[in-house]
Amino acid sequence: MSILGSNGAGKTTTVRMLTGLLLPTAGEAVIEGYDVVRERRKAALACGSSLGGDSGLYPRLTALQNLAFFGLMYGMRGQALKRRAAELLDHVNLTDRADEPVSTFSRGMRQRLHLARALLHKPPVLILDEPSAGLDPHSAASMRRLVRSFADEGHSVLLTTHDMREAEELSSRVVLMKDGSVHTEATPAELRLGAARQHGFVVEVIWNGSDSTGNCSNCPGLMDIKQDRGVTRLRVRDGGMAVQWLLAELGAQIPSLSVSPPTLEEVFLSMTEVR
Amino acid sequence: MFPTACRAAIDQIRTQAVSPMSLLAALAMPAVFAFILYSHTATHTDAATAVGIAGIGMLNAVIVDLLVSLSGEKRWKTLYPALSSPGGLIPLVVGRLVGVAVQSLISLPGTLLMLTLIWGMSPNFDWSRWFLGGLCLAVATTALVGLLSYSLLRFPSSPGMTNGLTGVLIALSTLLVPSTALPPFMQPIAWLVPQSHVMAWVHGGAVAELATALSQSTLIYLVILLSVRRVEHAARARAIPLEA
Repeated sequence: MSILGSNGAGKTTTVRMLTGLLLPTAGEAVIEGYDVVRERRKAALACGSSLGGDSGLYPRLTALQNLAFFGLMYGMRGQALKRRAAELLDHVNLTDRADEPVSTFSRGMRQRLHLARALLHKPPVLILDEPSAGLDPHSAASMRRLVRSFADEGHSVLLTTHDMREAEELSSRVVLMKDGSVHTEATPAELRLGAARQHGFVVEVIWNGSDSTGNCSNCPGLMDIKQDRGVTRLRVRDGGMAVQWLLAELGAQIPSLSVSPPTLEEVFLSMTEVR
Repeated sequence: MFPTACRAAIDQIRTQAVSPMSLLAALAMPAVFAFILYSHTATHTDAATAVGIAGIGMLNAVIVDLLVSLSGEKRWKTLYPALSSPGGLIPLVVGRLVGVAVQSLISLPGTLLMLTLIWGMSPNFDWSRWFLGGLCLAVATTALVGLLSYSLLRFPSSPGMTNGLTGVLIALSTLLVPSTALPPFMQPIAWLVPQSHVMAWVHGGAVAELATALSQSTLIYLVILLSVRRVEHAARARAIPLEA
């Protein structure tokens, strides 16, 4: 599940309350059946968290020493801890750097080590605050694959993010927060289809050549049109009807055609009224 | 909690024990005091002088090492994962204090070596009072300076608060001069400081002095634990930042 929202919407505050870093002033939050205030220790054992950024690790200690220390904090001991640390370092592709100080690690490597630290005690719930913030595209993709793999292993993953693609790729449900409360909760597809009713569908037409652009001004339900040398993007109320019309009227000039509802980013911008 | 605290202590020693700042704090300042002291007395080194001079090194080292250690925790934002862990901040702080105490012990042999090489050793040097007194002094000094943990964790500008503390504590802990040399109004305060009782024992006092020093230290450690709990509560209830 992803939590999306503008800066100040309450994403990080929510995560901090769930991870025992902040006391809620009202209401209750429960992780794996444990109240995060009254049963803080049990709730802490039930979740692993990584609160973003490349800090939160000891730069003078090695990756393995960092994991050993944080593992002890969660009640892990001896050989079980060593085995688990080695297993996770392997999982996050840091085995060959296990004995090097964290100060020599790149931001992406530190983020992966954070993830390993959060998973040390095998928590059923994983809470991540902007796990790929500040990473280059390769590192971000690698981080997304890792998070996906942990979700596939059966961990419940809650993540906050500004990256709509990340939210869409990793989440079965998305929570949109605004002004400290939940604005909408749905699957990414539900959100996009819901937004399509208001903002229409995008039909992207690729023409045979950049000079053979067809005239789409009579397309039924047309809301907006943009031309870009051989590609036309139409915003229409009904994607199916528009496609039928395009194929019937201009089909000979069109080798490729696609229809998509608004992106999650458009949904988000519409909700936060930044457009 | 115990394994976490042990590991925190080991990591503290592993990462800071041989740092130049730590070694200078433990050995350079007592050397300066030793030169001043011997310029007036010019005698061989006895156990009381050796422990007193080592005590100055310990005091300075514990202040510097604790400051570096907890400031580092805030700079690296490692207090947040500790706060969200089942044990909270206490195992971490206890471990750091133990590590800092062990680090400060370098002053004991370090300053004795220096004193002996320069001024020679008294033929009646009391090794047991030197060794046991030195150990108890490390425990007492860490307890007293450990009270700083609260302000170091709680307040963003806390490192500046340690300025001047060394001088006040050197005077009150009777490391160089007996309590009778202090101004009358300061003498009762000096007996509230556990180092004063350790030094009284090293000067030939009864074992009860050591027991008093250790009892006072235990009490101070309990106050430290309670103050760290207060920091935890303040961090959770009022979102005070645990980072620099």
